[in-house]
Amino acid sequence: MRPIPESRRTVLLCLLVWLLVVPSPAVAHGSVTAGEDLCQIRIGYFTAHFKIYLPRSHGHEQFCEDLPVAGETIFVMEYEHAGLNDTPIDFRIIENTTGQGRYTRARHVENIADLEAYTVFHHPPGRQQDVFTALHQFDTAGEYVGIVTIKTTDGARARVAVFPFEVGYTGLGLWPWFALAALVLQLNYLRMSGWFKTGSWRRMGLPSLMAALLTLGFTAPPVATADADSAGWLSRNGQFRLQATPEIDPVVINRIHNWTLILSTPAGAPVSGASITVTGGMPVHDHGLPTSPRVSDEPVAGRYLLEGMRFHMHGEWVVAVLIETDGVRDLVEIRLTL
Amino acid sequence: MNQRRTWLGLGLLGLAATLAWQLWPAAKPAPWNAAERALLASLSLDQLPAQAVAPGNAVAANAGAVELGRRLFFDPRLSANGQIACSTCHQPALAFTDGLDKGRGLGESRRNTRSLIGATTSPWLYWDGRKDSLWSQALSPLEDPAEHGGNRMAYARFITSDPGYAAAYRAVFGSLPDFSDPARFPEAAAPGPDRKLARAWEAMSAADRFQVNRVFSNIGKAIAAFEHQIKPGRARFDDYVAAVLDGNEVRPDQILSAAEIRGLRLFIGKARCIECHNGPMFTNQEFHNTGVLSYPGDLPDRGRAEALQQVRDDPFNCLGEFSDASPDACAELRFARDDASLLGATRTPSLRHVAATAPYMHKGQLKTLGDVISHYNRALPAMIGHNEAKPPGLDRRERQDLTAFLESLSAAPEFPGATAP
Repeated sequence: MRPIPESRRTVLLCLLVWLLVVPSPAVAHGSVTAGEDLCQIRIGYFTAHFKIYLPRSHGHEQFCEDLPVAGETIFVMEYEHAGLNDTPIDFRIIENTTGQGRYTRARHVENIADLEAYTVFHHPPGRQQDVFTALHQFDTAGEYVGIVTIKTTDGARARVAVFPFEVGYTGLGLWPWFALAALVLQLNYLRMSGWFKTGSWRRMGLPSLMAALLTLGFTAPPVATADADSAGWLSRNGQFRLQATPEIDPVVINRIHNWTLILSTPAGAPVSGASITVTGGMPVHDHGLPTSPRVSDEPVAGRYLLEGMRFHMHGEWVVAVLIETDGVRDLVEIRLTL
Repeated sequence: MNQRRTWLGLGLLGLAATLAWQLWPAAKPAPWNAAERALLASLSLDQLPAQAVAPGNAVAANAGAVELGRRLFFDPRLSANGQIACSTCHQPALAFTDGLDKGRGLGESRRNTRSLIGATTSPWLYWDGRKDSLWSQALSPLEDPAEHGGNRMAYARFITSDPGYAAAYRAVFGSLPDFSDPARFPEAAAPGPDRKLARAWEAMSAADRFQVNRVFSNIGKAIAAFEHQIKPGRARFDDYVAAVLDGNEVRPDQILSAAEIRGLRLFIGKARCIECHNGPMFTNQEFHNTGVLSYPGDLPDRGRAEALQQVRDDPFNCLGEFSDASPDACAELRFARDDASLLGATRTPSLRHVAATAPYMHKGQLKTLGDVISHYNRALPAMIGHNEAKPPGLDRRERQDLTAFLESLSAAPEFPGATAP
């Protein structure tokens, strides 16, 4: 029998080592974007990211429809349309007696005369901001149907989303047997090719292990750049010059304070009556300011009072000052390291 | 047979190597560089302002108010059943917490009891920041049916009926109104969800309601005056930092153990704890979603997202008529942030005395410091909103070192009457 090529064996072993070494919670991390959203619920023209949790038995693991066990279950819908904030949402779970199993559709549910009789959970119409959550304790395994109903404020007819799901669903089907068969075949193949006897594993073991360990990765610390300025900041398109002076010196974290902004043309003439919007954040950490600062006063022409500045972490910050006056619009980015 | 022995030997060697990798202590830590020294200094207790800043509470530093507040704090008569005091949940021996998942007064409260040590430094109170001053915070447990279960009318009457309290009140706040006319002042009344109390409250004249609110808010201000004096004790960590900053590189190791110093290095470095647990109280007092799992039987906590409107509408907030602050001193309330990142976000707790404040997180979901560190080490996606934490990838020994460092922050707090409360 033809031996497996060296390169393929290395890849295989890497894969095996990786499976053994990498801990199991390799689930999708953080922000799921709409494009990659595998589990989405559509209610009329509204959509929401949909997920189900079994926090007591499965921790942070997310489920889309079928659930492996009964128990405390939390349904989460993260709205993809702000319109859902103003829309009362009705959520009902019924036992699936339609006989349609996972092919149950809205029309099958509409045929049920007494929905209440089969209802195991009902969340009456209510508004929830940004995300809808509901908790139900499933005591028994079985087939169920989730029904999400919304009635828009203009009194239009109700929009319904129906999703059949199974509780106590093993979900694996024939896959474990398939995987076992593949493993047995692979081991037999290696045995027949004499791989165990020739000591090939010794030659490839160490480099493969090292390669696998490298895949575990090392995160490099963020590189901080100091970028201080005292003479003033020129706006991105050169329309304005801005001097920004915090009222506390040095600026420290966790203390709310005001800034004085002196706005002028690049030539130095004061710019009065400008509309100034201040935002900011830490680019490395991908978050904003802990407050919503505002320019509240212009006691002297071109001299503005900025209130409500605070920073809550050490590191590199960017304060973005958007300036608009007489149709001219430009941005100043102030960088500071705390 | 021989081959089997070889395999066994290899296996044992591998096991020994793994254990050594996990458990063998690293070499003596390198001296701190300038940037690290600056971070150490920023965490030191010496950075804590000596005097509390409480613009909304004119009697915050008044000695008479501190003593009146101390007595009220430990007095169980300030409750519906005469058995619940502030100190029922805020126990000095447990760093002013109660050792429970959720606070327990007359019933079970919504969240974990937070420590009061150094609470004076925070612009926001509670896990969700639904209160913006210590004095205003002190009022809500008094009327919460799950906590003290009383009502402001009864508390105002109680102060006037107790000669000791009445005299102390007059000494601090001047006059004390006369609540003896039953036609004007019922036995029990308060705004809120209890319909009987609310009806009695609505039946009172606006001027009489104001008088009751004034006494009620002053009870909060006296209790807060005492709480402003609950200060963190000086920990071994603080002595270590002082020694390091003195340029003494020999002494430090005698103050903190090698494991604690390694943990400190992780704290300000690889583990990135210092991003939120910064400053002398080891907290930025800000709101963050860190993906903590929901509490059994509860929906995921929306945290700050639900609290901002509450504090803006609160008649006892910094801008309200019972506050002693000028609007200029209410910058935190006026410029409070309101955005989507607040969904599921709760306020960073202090880590001073953290060894005494178990269980941890907003509903006591995590039982030990080890659990908390493992939680951050995984940093799994949040049930609602987005987990801001990123997994630092600490191995087992590093997690143990970090725990050792956190435990080194323990010290007995200082407060008036600490020896005989």
